[in-house]
Amino acid sequence: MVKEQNIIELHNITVSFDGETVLDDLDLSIKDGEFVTFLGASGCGKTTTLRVIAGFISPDHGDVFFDGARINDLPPHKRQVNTIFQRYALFPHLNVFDNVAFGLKVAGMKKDQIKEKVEEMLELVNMRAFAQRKIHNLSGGQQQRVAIARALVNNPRVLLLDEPLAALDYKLRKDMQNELKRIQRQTGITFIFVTHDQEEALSMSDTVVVMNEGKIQQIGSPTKIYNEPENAFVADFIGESNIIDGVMLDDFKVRLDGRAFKCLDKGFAVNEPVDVVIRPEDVDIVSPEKGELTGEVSSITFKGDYYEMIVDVCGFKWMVQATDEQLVGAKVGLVIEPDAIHIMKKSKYSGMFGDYSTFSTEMDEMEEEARLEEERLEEEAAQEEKGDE
Amino acid sequence: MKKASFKNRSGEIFGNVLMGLVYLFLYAPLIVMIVFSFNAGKSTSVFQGFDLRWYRELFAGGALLTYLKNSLLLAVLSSVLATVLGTLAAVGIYQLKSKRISSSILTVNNIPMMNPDIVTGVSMMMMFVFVGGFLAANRDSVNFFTLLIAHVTFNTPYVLLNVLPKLKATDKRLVEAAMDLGCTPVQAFFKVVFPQLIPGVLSGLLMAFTLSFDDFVISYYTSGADFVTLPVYIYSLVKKTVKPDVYALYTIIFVAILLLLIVYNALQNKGTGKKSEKKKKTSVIRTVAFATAAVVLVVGLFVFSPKPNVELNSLIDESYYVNEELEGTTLNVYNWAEYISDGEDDTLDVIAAFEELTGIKVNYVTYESNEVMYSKLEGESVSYDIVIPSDYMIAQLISKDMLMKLDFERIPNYTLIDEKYKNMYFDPENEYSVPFSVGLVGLIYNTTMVKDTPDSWSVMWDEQYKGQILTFNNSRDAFMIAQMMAGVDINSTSKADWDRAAELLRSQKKVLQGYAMDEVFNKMEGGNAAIAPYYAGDFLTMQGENPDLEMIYPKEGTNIFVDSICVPKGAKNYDAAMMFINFLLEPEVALANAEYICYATPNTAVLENEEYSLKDNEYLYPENYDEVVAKASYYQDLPAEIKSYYGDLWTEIKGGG
Repeated sequence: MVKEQNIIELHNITVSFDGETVLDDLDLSIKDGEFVTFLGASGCGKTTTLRVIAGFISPDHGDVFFDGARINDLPPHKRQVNTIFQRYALFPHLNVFDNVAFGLKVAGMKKDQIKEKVEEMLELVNMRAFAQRKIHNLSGGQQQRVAIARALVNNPRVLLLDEPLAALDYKLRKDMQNELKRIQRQTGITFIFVTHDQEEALSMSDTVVVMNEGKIQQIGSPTKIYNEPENAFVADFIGESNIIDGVMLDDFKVRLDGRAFKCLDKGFAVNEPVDVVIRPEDVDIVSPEKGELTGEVSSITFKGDYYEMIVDVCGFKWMVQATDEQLVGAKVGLVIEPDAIHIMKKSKYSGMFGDYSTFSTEMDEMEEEARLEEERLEEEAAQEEKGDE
Repeated sequence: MKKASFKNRSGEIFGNVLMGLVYLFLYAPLIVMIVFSFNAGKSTSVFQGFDLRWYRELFAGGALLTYLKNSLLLAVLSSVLATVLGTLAAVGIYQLKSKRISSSILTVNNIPMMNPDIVTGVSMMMMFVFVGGFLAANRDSVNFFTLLIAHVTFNTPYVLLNVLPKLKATDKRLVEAAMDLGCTPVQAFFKVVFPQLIPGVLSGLLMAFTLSFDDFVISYYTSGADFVTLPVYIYSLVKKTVKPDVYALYTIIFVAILLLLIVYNALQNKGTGKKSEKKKKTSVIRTVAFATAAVVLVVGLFVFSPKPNVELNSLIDESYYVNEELEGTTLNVYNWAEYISDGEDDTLDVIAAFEELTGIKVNYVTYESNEVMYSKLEGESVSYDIVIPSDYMIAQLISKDMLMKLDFERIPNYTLIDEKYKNMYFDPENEYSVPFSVGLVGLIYNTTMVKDTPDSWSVMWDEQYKGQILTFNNSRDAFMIAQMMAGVDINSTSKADWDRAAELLRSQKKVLQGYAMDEVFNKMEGGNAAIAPYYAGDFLTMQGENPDLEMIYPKEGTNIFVDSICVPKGAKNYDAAMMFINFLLEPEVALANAEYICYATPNTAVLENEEYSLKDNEYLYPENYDEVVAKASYYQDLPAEIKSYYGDLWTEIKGGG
């Protein structure tokens, strides 16, 4: 499906609002037919990037190319992209049919042709029975489907999706993820999807673009992003990670916690300080005498198919996932296979992540709530700001 | 539990009663007006049976419909213009980047709404006069267009305030979504944003329409002679009593507005949805039905155009009125309300007849007091060719050099004026004025309530009629009676004389029911007061409603007044004015006016006409008429010092315990 040529290229894009840099010299190319996800926390610049592509924001510096042509000065209504907005932005004064037909009507398509296309599209999103409904009589999931149909009916080359699933509940979100993936495969349209949900990003995308502070941290396939994070930020943002200070003794040899481990990484200077990433599920728990490292279990949480525990190894708290239950206070040994070790160069994020010394489940939940709240506030602020532009 | 529910019940009853009372007080005046619009008689206090008479009169004749049309035209034009402007302004403000600028613009927007109307009206008039002075020196500086500008100006802020919140409530992403789907920004506005604004735009339009339709104060200052609205006209009616056809008109307007509101609410409810389809259909049908009814009503008003009676049987010299140069010119006449025969009940429509005869277009505007007329003339925003002030006001106008001398060569019918009314004190050389109408103040009493036939003003101090006596609610007239009682000159410049009269007025206060002008009609016709002084001509109207009423001219003497036709300085059609004055003196025209106004006429051709229904009327022309006139006094223009002196006395008398 994914073709070789780039449909969208961003070169040195810089955007700032009120002197605050939102996108910092961003370079990105997206291939035709690709399912690309911009992943990052709120304020990382992912939505701004999307809006630059849609044409709602013109960058301070840099160029936007579409199919090889520079489109910086092309207004939104002339771009071959369509957007699914965060809260759908359906037209409340029109019914489902007229919402979907909107773009075709503006384009001046014939009536019977419109009818045919709209019905076809409503069929695709399973909303045919609701054609005459008013928007405010639809559920969130139904509105979502209408928004998809409204965008896709115009046959865009690129579909931009701005956190389209954020307002849905968990179950519905899962269904819609599958549905979107199906539609993308069926239509072959390039999808650019924005989300803060790493699970969503990993499960849906061909390519994930991890962003933070207006910069791209890493671009790659979901597996590559997960297994070979480029820096501590990515390692921490995607899944759980123990990030330990290490020293590269030689190719394939790293020292951490005073002990040398075999690894699969090379190309570092001798004695170069590095960040070592070890995923919690890659650590095996054995009896203390058999362990390469020993520590004490300081907490344990039942997660259904595994136990999540914090193991204190000489003051550094490791997160370990294992199927066997341990008692709090028990001495355990840890074994790490060479392929479980991933070495990263030191970055400005070193030392900021990867230690679970302050970890607790409740804390995590509270943080998640705080994050959602903050996101909501920022969203509103962004809306306000836009109004003032 | 039971106790609690009982408490709730009584609370509920109390609440309902309270609410009922509130609505009663809100609607009682309207109900009274509606009921009396169906009154068979002319009284506004005694219901004499159900009749559609006033509705017939409303449609059959007169000025009201013209003024209604004016008001509707103005309201529609100004509200539509204001809606367009206000909506555009709202969009503009909404798009402003700087919050500081937009909020200061909103403040500027709000000021005209908080500003008293009178300030808006006067300042606009001044501006129009000022600008008009540059643009068109030979045209009136206030006219229909200035009125329209004024209305659009005061309506626009209201529209803006109705539209802006809707705009703010509109999701900004809708615009982006529309542009995303191929709309240009302009298309996005009309296809997506505007539909969200429609409720706000409609309520703004409706509000602007009603504000414009019932505005009086601003219209009063910014309208010219060519275009008078209904509220301005009705206000000028206060000198005489408001006739029930006005009630009929307002009943129709009230019903129309009620229908409009119902239609509006029905439309709004339709928008909220969540109704079953069937219900929706009936509400649509109802809406359409009401809209149709409203349209039929309005169209009906316009179709029933009155056909004025303009037939003249005789003119002294028909050739006099042929002047091709004047054909098509305009004559601005400024007169008392209801002071000219208007074609009602198949009488002669004097204005229409003059227009028909000469081809001169007449703008006819009315005032309610000499002082109002004076301030309008002084304001110079409009020039009038004819005014009909009273004696003392003529003296004042002459002294201020505000009148033009008349060319009596061109008013041959002046010979018909009774010699008694020539060489009057205010115009001793007969240079400026031609008498139009004469009146006396009489003492009116109810024969069933007052035992003996009174012959003196002293009955107004009589303890046995305590609480049944009315007097003028106007300082000069109230003082006149006291001055006659005290035997002092009503034009005295001695403060001591005024003090003496004031003393009498103070002592009178305890027997008075109240001070009244227009209310005298209702009170006396309805038998709610026994004694009241009023003008002889108006007494005839009251007696028509209540035959128990009688009137005498007290032996101490009374006030006599003459309203005379004059031409103010600044008149732009002097030649037509001369022709109009002569026309008013034509025997047939003067007869029609005398019959209509019911005041005494100075025209000998009328006095000698056998067809004159009031000829030898015992009240207008009593046998001892010359004696009454000899004892009566005219008001004269008093020095400012005396005016303010008795003004203060009057305030103190009325206000003091």
